[in-house]
Amino acid sequence: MKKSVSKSGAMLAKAEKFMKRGNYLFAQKEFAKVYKNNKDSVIAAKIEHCRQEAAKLKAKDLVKRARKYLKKNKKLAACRCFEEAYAITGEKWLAERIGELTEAAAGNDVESAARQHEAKGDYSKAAKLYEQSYNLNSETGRSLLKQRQAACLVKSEQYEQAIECYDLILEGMNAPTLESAYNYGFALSHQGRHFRCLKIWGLIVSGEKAFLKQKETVARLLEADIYKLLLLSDAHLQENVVGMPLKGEDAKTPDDKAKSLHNYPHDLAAAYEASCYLQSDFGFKGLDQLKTYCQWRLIESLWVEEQYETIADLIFNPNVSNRSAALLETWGPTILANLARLSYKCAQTSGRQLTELALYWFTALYHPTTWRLFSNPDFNNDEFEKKTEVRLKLISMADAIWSHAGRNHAGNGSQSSDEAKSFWDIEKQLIADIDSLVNGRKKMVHLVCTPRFAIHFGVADQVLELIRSANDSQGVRYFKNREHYLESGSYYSAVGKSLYYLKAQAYKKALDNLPENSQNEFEKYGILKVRYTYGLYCLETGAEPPGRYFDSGPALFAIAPHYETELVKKAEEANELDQMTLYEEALNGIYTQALKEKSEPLVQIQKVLSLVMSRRALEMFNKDMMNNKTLSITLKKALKLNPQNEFARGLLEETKADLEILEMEKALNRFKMHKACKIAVESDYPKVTEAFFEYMEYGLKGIHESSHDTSQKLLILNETYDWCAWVDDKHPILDEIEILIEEFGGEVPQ
Amino acid sequence: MNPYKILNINSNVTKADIILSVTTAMRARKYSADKIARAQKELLNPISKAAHDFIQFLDIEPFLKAIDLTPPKQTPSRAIERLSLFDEKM
Repeated sequence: MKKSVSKSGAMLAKAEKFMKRGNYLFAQKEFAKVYKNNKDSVIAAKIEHCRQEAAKLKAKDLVKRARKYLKKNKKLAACRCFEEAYAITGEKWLAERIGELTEAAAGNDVESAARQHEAKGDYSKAAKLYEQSYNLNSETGRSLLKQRQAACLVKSEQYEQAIECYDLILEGMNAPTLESAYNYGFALSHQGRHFRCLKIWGLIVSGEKAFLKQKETVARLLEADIYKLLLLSDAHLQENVVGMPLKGEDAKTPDDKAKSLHNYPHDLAAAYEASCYLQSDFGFKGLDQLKTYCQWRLIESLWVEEQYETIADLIFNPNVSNRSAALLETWGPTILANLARLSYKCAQTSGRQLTELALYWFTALYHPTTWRLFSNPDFNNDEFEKKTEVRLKLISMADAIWSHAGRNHAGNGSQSSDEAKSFWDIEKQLIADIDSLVNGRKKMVHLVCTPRFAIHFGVADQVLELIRSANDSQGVRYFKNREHYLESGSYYSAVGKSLYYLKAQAYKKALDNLPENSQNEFEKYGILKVRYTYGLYCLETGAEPPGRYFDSGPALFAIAPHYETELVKKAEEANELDQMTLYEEALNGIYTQALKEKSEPLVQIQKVLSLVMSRRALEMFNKDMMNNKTLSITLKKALKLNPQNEFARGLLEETKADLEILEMEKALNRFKMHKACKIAVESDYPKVTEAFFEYMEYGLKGIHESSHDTSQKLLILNETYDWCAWVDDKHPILDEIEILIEEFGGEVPQ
Repeated sequence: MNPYKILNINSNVTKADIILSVTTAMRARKYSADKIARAQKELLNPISKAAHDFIQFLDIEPFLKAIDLTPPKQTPSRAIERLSLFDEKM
């Protein structure tokens, strides 16, 4: 019995040892042996634990093997391993994996079946099997199955389904194979979608003649389709489904027209794009008309939908071939009204295209083709006046846009808006003048345009000729005066740009944009005006020394005397020293230039120069910036310019007296009494004599306190008496001196 | 403001049509009474009507008339044969 107990204990220890090492299978066996002799519940529990752990290890091993099989693409064997592992653990993920592998295996079978059918030429069946295989397969390579399905669909002439498949492939961002790209395009072409076909075939780089020929054929089909679409659309626009005429003015309401045009812009845009494509990629000729037609129809529909900005992008964008200038060259005045309308609408709705509005609006409103549009059955006999009112109304409507734009741009430093507004104001006046000059003459109606329009479209020289023809030698036959004549012409000349800048108060830009040489009287005038105005600007702001810009003054004043008057007024109002100095410099520049040119004497300028010069000198003298002598010289110069300058004259008199006093005081201080007396005697100014006697009186007052003895004092008094008597022998100071001499016991001079 | 759009009428309408369209526009309530009244006023005045006739309607007929839309005489047959030159080897 003792032996049996010890054997059982050894087995138990052995089992525990196996369990500790994780060798559950052996541990289970050893525990079972012990349990056979000893039915202990603890040992039973240990046996169960070891069994469970051993099963887990087995399952783990099975999963490992399954993965190895998968790596070798042995899906069936792998599936069996997973199944066994699942039987042990019952884990959910294993069940899912088993499901996937079963499906894939099935898919492989289906795929090979599909290939067999395709090889036999049973494309319809093959397509179905490829689809089935695609649905069963969840791994990579599904896209290829879809492409095979689509290829079979094409081969079995099921084009619509094939297109759906290819769309799916492209949606998944999978690049189609060459075969797929070709088949896709082929299917699209068969369904009448030639443009898309060509775009897809554009992915194929191939020089195969058969393919290139086919592409050309499809391109021709596309061209025919575009014509067909446009003709059909045109017919549709003319008669909608209920037979109501809808085209243009005949449409009953704008809403009707909008409805009839629903989706139309999309078709037109596509047709336009396709036309461009055929032209650029296939070199098709004769598509310009087609493109233009598409564009106009598109513009029409966009207009009804109030998409003015989109139209503007089409027309005004310089990157678009049919931009406004080209359109104008092609269509002439016919298009002008539309460009004006469009720029008006854009400016009104979004504040954009203001420059275009300024460019086209007036020219369009004054053009005779537009003038005819202003007719109205209500304008009976007074049609001309009424149509003029319509034009004015349209101008005021556009003026309102400018006011609004000005408010919107106010404070945001939008220089361009201000400039554009300045241009607008100038052009309003100029075009009215040109219209009056043309006076309805048919051969010249194309000249009724704004300067920028004229320059832009190359008719500026003709306008200048027209202006010249309205001129007599003084330029006043039509124009108010010579300045009006030259000013009008200058805007249409090479200096026009500078004058626009000047109007917009961009003085430096105006100066910088002047042409180097003037070719005619208008340019000469423009240059004079810009230089002179820039000089004034410098004068007022101190931007740079203004002198040299005023050389244009005399010539300009000869044409427009009001400039001289204005300058004189400003110069007269100048009261600060700096200001006066600058005005003097400017006026002097003008005066000197006039002398050089030997032109008409500029009397006003001469007078004001004299005045400003003397005022400036006084101001400097008062601020101790000028001495008496310089003051006197300057005043003499001013008086030479204008002898009637009372201000300078009075000042000079005062200055002369002061100068004599100064000289006299100097002599007195040095005891050069003879000289001092001589100055006092010869002076024309009482002020000088008074100063002499004041000096003498001062000397007498101090005689009592002086340190001289009586004889010396008497000597001084006698000499003083003689000097004073020389200057004025009746002056009361002589009595005072006599009293003093008597006081000191002297003998009164006779 | 486009009075023609507000009143949903075209330019070749009589004064009576304009007045009638006001009632319709009021019923439709697409625009405020104030806007409708202003649109009516604009169109009943011959001067401002002529101005709006100029601004509100784009005239593309002259351009379309000048365009020749005759299709090319030779249009290829619509059907094209599928080429096998891009087919992949099975």
